[in-house]
Amino acid sequence: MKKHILPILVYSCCFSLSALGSNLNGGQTDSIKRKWYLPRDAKIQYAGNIGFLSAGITYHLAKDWYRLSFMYGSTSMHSHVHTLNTVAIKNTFLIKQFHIGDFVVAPMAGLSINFGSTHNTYRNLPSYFPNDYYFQNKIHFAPFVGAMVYHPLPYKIIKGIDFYTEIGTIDNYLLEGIRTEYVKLYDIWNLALGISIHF
Amino acid sequence: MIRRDFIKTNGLICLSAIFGVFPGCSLPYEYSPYDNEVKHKFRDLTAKNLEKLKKTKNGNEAFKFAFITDTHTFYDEFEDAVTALNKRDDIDFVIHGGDLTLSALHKEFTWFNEIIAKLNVPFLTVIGNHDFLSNGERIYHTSFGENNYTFTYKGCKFVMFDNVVWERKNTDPDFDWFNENLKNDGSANLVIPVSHIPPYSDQYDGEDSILNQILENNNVKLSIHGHTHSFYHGKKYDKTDFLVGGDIADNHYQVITIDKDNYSIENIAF
Repeated sequence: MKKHILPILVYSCCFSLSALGSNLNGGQTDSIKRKWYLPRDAKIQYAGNIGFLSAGITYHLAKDWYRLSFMYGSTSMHSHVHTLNTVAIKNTFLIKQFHIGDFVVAPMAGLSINFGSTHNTYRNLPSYFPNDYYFQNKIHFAPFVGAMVYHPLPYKIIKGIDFYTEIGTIDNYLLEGIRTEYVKLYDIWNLALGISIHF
Repeated sequence: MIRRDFIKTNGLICLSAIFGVFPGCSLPYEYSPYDNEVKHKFRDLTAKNLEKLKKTKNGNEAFKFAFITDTHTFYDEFEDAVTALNKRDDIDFVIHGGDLTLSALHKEFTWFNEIIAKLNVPFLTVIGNHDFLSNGERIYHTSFGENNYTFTYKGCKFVMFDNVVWERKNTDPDFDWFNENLKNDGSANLVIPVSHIPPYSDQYDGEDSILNQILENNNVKLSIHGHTHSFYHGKKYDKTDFLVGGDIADNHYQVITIDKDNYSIENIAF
């Protein structure tokens, strides 16, 4: 249960923040043209193959339908391994956006490209290995589906908040799910929870 | 007023989102494919199996054990092997010769453990080169225990040795430990080393390799390995007999009968 407390707390805090924000003047809009390199949101994520906790920034592209996130995650704090870091380039596609009151609810799907860094992860094998002895084990492709709920906030800097959940897997597990009878396709998925603060 | 409206309008959604986390708790979280956390029931398996082996009751001095190796991600064949082994009642335990996994990922170890847990008899393992990838050595350590260990069963001493080289950053295994533990102080009828890589693989220099020299200097009669994915039994060099199991996709396992200081081997199809 201990490991579940964190996401519950994070969600609770964010909803408190959201409720508090509604007390301030609503309807503020930012008319200043955004610099292209400034991210549109910053997020923190729990689990989901890229770390016990991960954080990153996101660019909203293609009229908000495509979101490109750069994430850094660490698992060291969980697994007592000195080095277990992941950098992920996360491609998220909002399949549909439903406007329900002040909320925007969006089912989404995507593919994350995860670069793992731990002991004995290789992109190029050291010279003492024969050629092609192993396939690289540093980069994993991680497909996911999920949903997010967005609510605008009336702050000057923080303009909105979203909560998202994803069900994902990685290429190796997907391959075994397809290739073997023993590994069922429902065995390979796992859950991620996250929040994003929109600027 | 605005705040009240907000809570009133959105309270239900807030609550459902928060409580939505609770059903989520039953879904598995996966922090990293390299995570070395292991379910409690899959920890310290070497010690747990050695404890089970102590309780094995079989009055005969002679005994049989089975050998499987290189199961990697051949989960279906591995399950078939476990089913076949469970149909026998003449095997006291099973030894796995390493390469439990393909990429040493977190779930690969879990799937391995789920399948081998179905064995009716105790099992012991050695670590293979594939199990060293990523954080595999650490997962192995958490799930099974020390890489190098010995146990004695009915007068036969088994020396379980981690002889991985390249994946250990191209450094030597603990050959001193191996040499020391192969010595027979007279209390054992037979000393059988089990390690993943045979001395005639690329990592070693064959007959002149330190691995083979240690085997020969200690007059080892039978040395058991995996790694090559093809079955071999015989004298590769002067003294020692090598038993090298094929991978599990070969649909064979070996049964070794030990009778004091003699042994015999059957290669069984399943």
